[in-house]
Amino acid sequence: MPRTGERDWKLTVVRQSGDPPVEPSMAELGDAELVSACLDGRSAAFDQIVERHRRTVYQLCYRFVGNHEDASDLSQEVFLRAYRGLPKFRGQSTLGTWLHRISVNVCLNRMSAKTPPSEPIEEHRHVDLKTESPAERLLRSERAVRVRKAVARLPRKQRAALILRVYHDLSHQEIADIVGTSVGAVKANVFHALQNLRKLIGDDAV
Amino acid sequence: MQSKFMKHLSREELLDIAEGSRAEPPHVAECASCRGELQELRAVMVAVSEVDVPEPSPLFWDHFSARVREAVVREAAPSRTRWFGLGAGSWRIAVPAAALAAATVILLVVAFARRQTAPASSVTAAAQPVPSAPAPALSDALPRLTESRDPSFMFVSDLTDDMDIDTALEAGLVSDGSADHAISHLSDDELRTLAALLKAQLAAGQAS
Repeated sequence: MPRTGERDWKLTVVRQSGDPPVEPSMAELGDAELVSACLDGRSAAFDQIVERHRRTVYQLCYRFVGNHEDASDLSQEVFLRAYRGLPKFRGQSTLGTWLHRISVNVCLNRMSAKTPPSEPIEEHRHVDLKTESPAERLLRSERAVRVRKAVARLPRKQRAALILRVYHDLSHQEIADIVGTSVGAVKANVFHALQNLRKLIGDDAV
Repeated sequence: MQSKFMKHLSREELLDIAEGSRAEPPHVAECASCRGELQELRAVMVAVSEVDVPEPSPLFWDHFSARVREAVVREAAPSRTRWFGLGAGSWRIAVPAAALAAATVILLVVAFARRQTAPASSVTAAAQPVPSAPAPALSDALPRLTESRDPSFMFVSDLTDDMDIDTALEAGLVSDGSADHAISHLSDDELRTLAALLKAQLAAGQAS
């Protein structure tokens, strides 16, 4: 019941018949709609795709190369290739999976172009970096550095399979589709990657 | 007690069990080797999964998006300034015009060559041995083209004056091997005419 001296305000938006229809903002669109908008020439749609997927792409690239500068360059290359390839994107996989595939290809190509690891993993001897510092944070940080370096030393296919499985939580089948191999080969690569990492990291870090 | 013929777990089984997608079979409890391998796999998986990617500066993401945007804009207009120094947008006119020009030049040359070699061809068709036909002098040919003042020819000439084969290839006006294809399909007389034209052109170039 309205109280005395107060008014009930009702706001009604009246649209003229000639007004253009209100379009949803890019952020509200799904990936498939964004791709379609890109192909219609709406550049803001591609900006939205970049904004939505840039962190995942960057993290994937970082896992491959282990440093910010290269990861940043590679991520840019991934999106540029995605832009070029959008007309060929059929939507058979999700946009995220498709970007994963491009990222892996870009990273593997970069790894082919760059100098490969100079010594085989089996010859690498674990260096004990056990510190006397009681700070658990420091230990964790050092352990992280060692793990990243060890991952960066893995052979290409093992590295790709491990990164996509452990860090991006993709199924073996999804990884097989991305890398272009069989599920069995993916499992073998993950298994060998873990075994090699154990040698590289050393028991005390595990 | 372990059987002498106990079958150890395969790599795939070990991985599936370590990842939790397969239940641990009774064999694990009985086999110290498989149990140890499984423990190591799990320990490495935990150690690896705990490692995060360092978060870049908050400013990085906006900068990154801007970089991608710039790269995409460059990508969208890869050759705007490469066509005869024309400004943005005018390449849409220049490319078809140049394609038309190139096609016209080819037609003119072929038509000219055929006209020059028509009598010799008929002799060849009669299977009579003929001595090498005297090559037509370039002076017979070029004045007709250059002195015609045909506006379409002058337009073509202006457009293609500075065009090299790389530019034409890049623009898709010709494909790799198209020149070889064209030459390999010329008749003997057309080839002789072409050779004479080239010689005359070279001689004129050396004289100037």
